[in-house]
Amino acid sequence: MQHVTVAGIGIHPFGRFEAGYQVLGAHAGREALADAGVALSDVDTVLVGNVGAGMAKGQNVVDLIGHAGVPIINVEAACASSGSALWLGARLIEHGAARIVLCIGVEKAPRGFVAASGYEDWQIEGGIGVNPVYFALQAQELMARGVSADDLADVSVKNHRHAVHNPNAMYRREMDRDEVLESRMVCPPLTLLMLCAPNEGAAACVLMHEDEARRRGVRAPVRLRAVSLVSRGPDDWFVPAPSFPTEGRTSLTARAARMAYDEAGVAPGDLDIVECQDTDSGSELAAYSDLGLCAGGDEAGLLRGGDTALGGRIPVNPSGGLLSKGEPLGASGLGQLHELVLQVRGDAGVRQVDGAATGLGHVMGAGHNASVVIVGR
Amino acid sequence: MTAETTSGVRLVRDDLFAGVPGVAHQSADADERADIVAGAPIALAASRCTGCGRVHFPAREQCPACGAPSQRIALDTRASLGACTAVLHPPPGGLVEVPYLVGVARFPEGISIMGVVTGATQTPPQDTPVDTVAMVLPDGRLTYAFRPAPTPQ
Repeated sequence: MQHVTVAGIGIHPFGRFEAGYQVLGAHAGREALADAGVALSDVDTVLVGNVGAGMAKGQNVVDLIGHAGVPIINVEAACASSGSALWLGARLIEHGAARIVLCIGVEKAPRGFVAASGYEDWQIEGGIGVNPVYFALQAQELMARGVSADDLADVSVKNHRHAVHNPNAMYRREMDRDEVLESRMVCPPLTLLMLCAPNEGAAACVLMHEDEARRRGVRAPVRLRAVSLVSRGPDDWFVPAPSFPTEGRTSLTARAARMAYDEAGVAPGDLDIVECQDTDSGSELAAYSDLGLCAGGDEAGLLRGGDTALGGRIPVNPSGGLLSKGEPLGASGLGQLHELVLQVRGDAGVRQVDGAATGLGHVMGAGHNASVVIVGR
Repeated sequence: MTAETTSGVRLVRDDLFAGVPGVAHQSADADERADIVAGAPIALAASRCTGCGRVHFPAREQCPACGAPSQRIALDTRASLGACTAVLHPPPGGLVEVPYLVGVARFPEGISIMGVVTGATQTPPQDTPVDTVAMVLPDGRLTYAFRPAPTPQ
């Protein structure tokens, strides 16, 4: 990725709110515009990531910011919605179709299991079209190669400890291993506190060509070094597929990560921070190896050594992750970008990772979508 | 996508089974979960690509991996259980009475398929041989499930 910078970031806290999605999205969008020092009328294109809101949702969000007459495009790709918006915005700038793009992700997700994840009726009625089942089966596979229930609990303990210092997180209370293990069993081995809660929130960024950022004297531009986006390949398995090849199963995350590393010209060892899709504790552990932070089978070792905690070699989810922030589906990817940019700017406060210069964000969604973004100085 | 076979048996999706042998309806009984399994082992209908050899379930006419035509195949009724979990709370839209087990069955043809595991109250160990059987939903329609195979006497 050449010449694309993140010129501004904005966020509406993740949680539960009275306000409608328009208000949440506009809040994040306004904040990102102000942070970049531009007006809506300076923007060439607005991209809005969202899953559940109704018709012309992006238009309704932007309506609260202003009537600048600029193109507005809605982007939906389940949990990878705002990652997809980011991918599209970056490509528009890279290929000269825009100089300034505003990306907004917003969601007001209902409580409980995410339904309507693309399952056919026979899967839902027949009892197998259930999102946490997929994550539980993945966790069982991890346990068959050395991950323990304690490890799964400790991912959640770590991320909740990180979130104590994140004012935008929904759950900001430390919890110990026993509390996680003793919370309600959802699908063994996953307990309620090992699964993220779908919730509400918004995040935004202003992408800008680096020349434009320089010309405007943008305060703290952060380079967008890579953004990849992949969909289902022949041998992937994720929600809502009911089957997969027994041998040679591939990972969407690993493929998206390889593309992003290639584009950025960096290796996993160059990263200072990672924000990954911790839909559940097992998904964070699986991401360790899929993102190349460790070899397959060494996920628990990386966690147990403290490497992925704040203060460790490669902190994962310093924001608290989705486990602590909750997951507003259409906003999660841009929420990760918000944290990465804060960290690279050195503005992350108590949870600042010393000298953070290069960060990676990762989202993965139903329907087989994964996106990886790499930012840096 | 409900189909009615000549024998009057309705499936949750008309192309899941390679054949429906004389399935006898039995009422679901919460105390005897094995009783909701109707009849003998059945074969699931899958497809094998004539080009790359990949197997898909449910069956595809054209291979989504390479585009070549796929042939219908009947999977072995016997498979081996891989990862297994349980659903303890009613999911949205589900008709199977909780709690129930869900596992992945690994078929000799090289495909792994998710399904309800019936005839067991505890998670069976990895590699347990399972038979593919018909399972009656509360509305009378059939889907498939995996049941630990009887141990030889």
